[in-house]
Amino acid sequence: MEPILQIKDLQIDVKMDEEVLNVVKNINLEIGKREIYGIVGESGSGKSLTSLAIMGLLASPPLQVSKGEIVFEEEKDLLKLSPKELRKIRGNKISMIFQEPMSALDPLFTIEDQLMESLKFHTKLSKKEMKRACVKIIERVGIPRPEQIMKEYPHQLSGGMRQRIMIAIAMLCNPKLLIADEPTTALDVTIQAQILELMKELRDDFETSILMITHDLGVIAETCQRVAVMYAGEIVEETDVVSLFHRPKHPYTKGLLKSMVGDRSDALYSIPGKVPSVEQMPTGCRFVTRCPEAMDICARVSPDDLEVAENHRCKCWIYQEEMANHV
Amino acid sequence: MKEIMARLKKDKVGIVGVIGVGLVLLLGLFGPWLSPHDSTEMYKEHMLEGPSATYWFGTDEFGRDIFSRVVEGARVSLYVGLISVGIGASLGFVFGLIAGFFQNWVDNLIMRIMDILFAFPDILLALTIVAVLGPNLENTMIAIGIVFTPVFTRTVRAAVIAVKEMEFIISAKAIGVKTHKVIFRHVSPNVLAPFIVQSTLALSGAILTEAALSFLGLGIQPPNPSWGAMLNESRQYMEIAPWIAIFPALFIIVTIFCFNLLGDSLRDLLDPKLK
Amino acid sequence: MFAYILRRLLMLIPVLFGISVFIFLIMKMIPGDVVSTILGTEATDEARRQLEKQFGLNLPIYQQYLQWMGGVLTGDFGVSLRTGKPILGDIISRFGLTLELTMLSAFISWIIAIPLGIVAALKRNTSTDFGVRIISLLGVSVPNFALATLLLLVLSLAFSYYPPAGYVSLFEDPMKNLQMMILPAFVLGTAMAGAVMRMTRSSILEVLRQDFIRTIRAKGASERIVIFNHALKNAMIPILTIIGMQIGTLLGGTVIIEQIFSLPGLGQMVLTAINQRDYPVVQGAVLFIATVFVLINLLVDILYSYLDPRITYK
Ligand SMILES: Nc1ncnc2c1ncn2[C@@H]1O[C@H](COP(=O)(O)OP(=O)(O)O)[C@@H](O)[C@H]1O
Ligand code: SF4
Ligand SMILES: [Mg+2]
Repeated sequence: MEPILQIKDLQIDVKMDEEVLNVVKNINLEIGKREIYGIVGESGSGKSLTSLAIMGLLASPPLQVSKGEIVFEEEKDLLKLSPKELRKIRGNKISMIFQEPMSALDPLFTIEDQLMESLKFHTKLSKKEMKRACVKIIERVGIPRPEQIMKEYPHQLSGGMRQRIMIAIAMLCNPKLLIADEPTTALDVTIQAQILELMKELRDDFETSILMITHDLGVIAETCQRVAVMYAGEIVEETDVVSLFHRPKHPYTKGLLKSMVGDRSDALYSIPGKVPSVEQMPTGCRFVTRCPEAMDICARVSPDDLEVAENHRCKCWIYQEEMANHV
Repeated sequence: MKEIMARLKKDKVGIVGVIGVGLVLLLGLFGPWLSPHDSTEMYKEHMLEGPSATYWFGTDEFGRDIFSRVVEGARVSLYVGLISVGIGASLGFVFGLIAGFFQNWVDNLIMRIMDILFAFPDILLALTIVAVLGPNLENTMIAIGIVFTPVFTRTVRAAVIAVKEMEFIISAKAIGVKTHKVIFRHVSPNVLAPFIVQSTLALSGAILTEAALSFLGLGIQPPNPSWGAMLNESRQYMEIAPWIAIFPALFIIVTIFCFNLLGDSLRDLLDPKLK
Repeated sequence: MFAYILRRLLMLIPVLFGISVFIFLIMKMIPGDVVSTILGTEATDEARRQLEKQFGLNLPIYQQYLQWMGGVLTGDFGVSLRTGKPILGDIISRFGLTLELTMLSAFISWIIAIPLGIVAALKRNTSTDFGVRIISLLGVSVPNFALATLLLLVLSLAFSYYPPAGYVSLFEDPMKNLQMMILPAFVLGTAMAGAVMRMTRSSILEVLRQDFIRTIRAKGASERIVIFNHALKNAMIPILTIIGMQIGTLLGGTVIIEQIFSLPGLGQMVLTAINQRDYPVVQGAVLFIATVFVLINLLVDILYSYLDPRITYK
């Protein structure tokens, strides 16, 4: 499958009072054309930072990409583009939607203004053509009476409606890649399912690849083909969805899955402890403080990211030792 | 509080403010021992003389020593500032406490009265009150105190209401603790921070208002020195004797500036959101 | 919208009523009476009684208030004790100058403060930001009368420049009028500029932190569009609040500035009346200024709801 986006060895640092600390590292992944690719992990694991790095929207300072490549359409390294070149891609070939639909739209502008703005940046259409394009996309994202909605202000719409508008804005210029950072987290369950369904349809219609970021394995199961599991700024496991759910390797992934199943049983399981903060990152494996299978070596040396099965990578000493023994 | 002191130490602007305010306070306290001459004594042979070893800041049109007058003026400014902010803060504290406490028609009445006071430009209100009561030191302080009452009332009222809505108050209520007691114990520390900031800023405002009133001839009356009055009197002669305008102006500006520096850093420290 | 404005105007009635009662009562607290002020202490009882009756001073206090208020509402503010001329006419003829001075000061302060505030926000925690902070604090700290005095001193000593004397109105000779007004307006505007600068800085920073700014950037907007089309418009709402509040400082400041620059405006009228103990004039002019202040704040409120669609006209 042809890749639309390849991230190679991405590393993000944060500057804190004279000190430079690492927040995200060793990110390697490849998103294929028309693929829905998931990144899953608890809150604070660096998913949003990774996606903002793709968009070139990291708040710098204090954040900065210190290493790696982000290759788009097999030719351009997004990290090497000038701000102006990046702006041409943003909202055009790569677009993004965010978690909080309630605060993601400018309260002082009408929906129409906010849709048109995108077209003004990226097309040379006449005003009439722009308006027609807006009406069309609003209809496409499943909002009735588009003309009327366009005249309204964000506060007049419900959360689900606003997220549809956000999607409409993102799809306006027919992007090659849509990054969705927790697009349904703030919505209630029925709306959540509708929005995910809509995104899948749009993927088919527009042939857009989607990077689906979530902390919810349910969302992954529903939409994705491939998935990367992130923990404390690193990808710890990466494979196709079926393998992930049926043959998980990494202890962290197993923990996540267990807490998901626990959803339906009485005893709700959750991985003990919290994601370590940037200042207190363990030296060896970053999961060592919470891992039920931790060994001596885990605390000292970080494991390598290895291909443990076909199309299945995992970053854990259990498999590294196993493979070493095989050789 | 300790943490605030520690952070203040890091804030260079705040330090300049503290030092400046400290110097002005010292000047006000020990001024009479510092000044070489009596501030009202007229040296008839030395009218409008420039700065010299005897008259450090020169003399005015009556031959009075400007340095001594400026120093004495610091005393007057601080005195008026402290007393009038004291009046405004006490009135505001009482009204704010009552208003926030009851939040009924009493609250409504108090706040509407404060709204009315707020509807007057500060200077105009002070001016009117002084005009009615008669221009002198005491009335100037009363007028400025009244002008600053609404700000304090609002600050205290807001803090009281915020405390009332805090969870532990609600839970204390639930287990039957006398709410008034709880509120009172918790209001004081919670009011303190905004109250201190407000006081520092009000102090600079009060000093400014006094100077303005005296400038207009409606504050401190001659021959008592006040920076505002000195500046006003200087206008007739300042082209031939610029020092009689420059020194009082400089002292007014530096004093108010230092108080504002201090108040400003305190506000930033207590409300880091604005940083 | 119209209904909203009308309702807001109606809501002003109790406030204005309170203001008028306050002014009336405070004027009644003047020690000594108006009659002795006019006639001197040696006047005959007959003459005194005559005058008391003329001013309605023999009536109970609430009737005195009603009489005064009745007059005010029908455009009769009474007459000056000094000149015997109707007060309202004088107020109106002087108000133009004061309004022009206030507006010009406000305008000058915005064109200084808003750009500097934006720059400070965009370069926060740099030396530029620090510089703006000091300038804005200086603006707030330097009293207008001190600035005016020093400015006049420097201009006369260094440039032999004296502000033109003899006031001409905007309609007689706009150029000369502006020449006269620009210096006082600048002096008056500095305090407001300081406050507006700070507010601009902090509200721009506040807005730039919001989620929707990220959305706009994600659409491919340039920083220029982010700042000027979105951040500034959102920041305008808190900036407007401070502007409304500062108008009071400006109106109060006119009392001092008009005195220093010999401008025959409303502020000078109040001051002269106070010095001459011409109380009906003080009473009328202060009521007028307070009313103007309240109305300007209403105007700001309306502008506010015009800018912010979240505020409903209900
Ligand atoms: N501006 C910042 N400054 C310092 N640390 C940051 C900043 N933004 C994010 N972080 C840290 O980076 C980590 C990853 O954040 P994020 O990407 O938002 O996680 P996720 O989206 O997976 O919940 C968090 O631990 C957070 O504390
Ligand atoms: S490397 Fe060690 S600590 Fe880390 S996940 Fe594997 S077993 Fe657990
Ligand atoms: Mg996130």
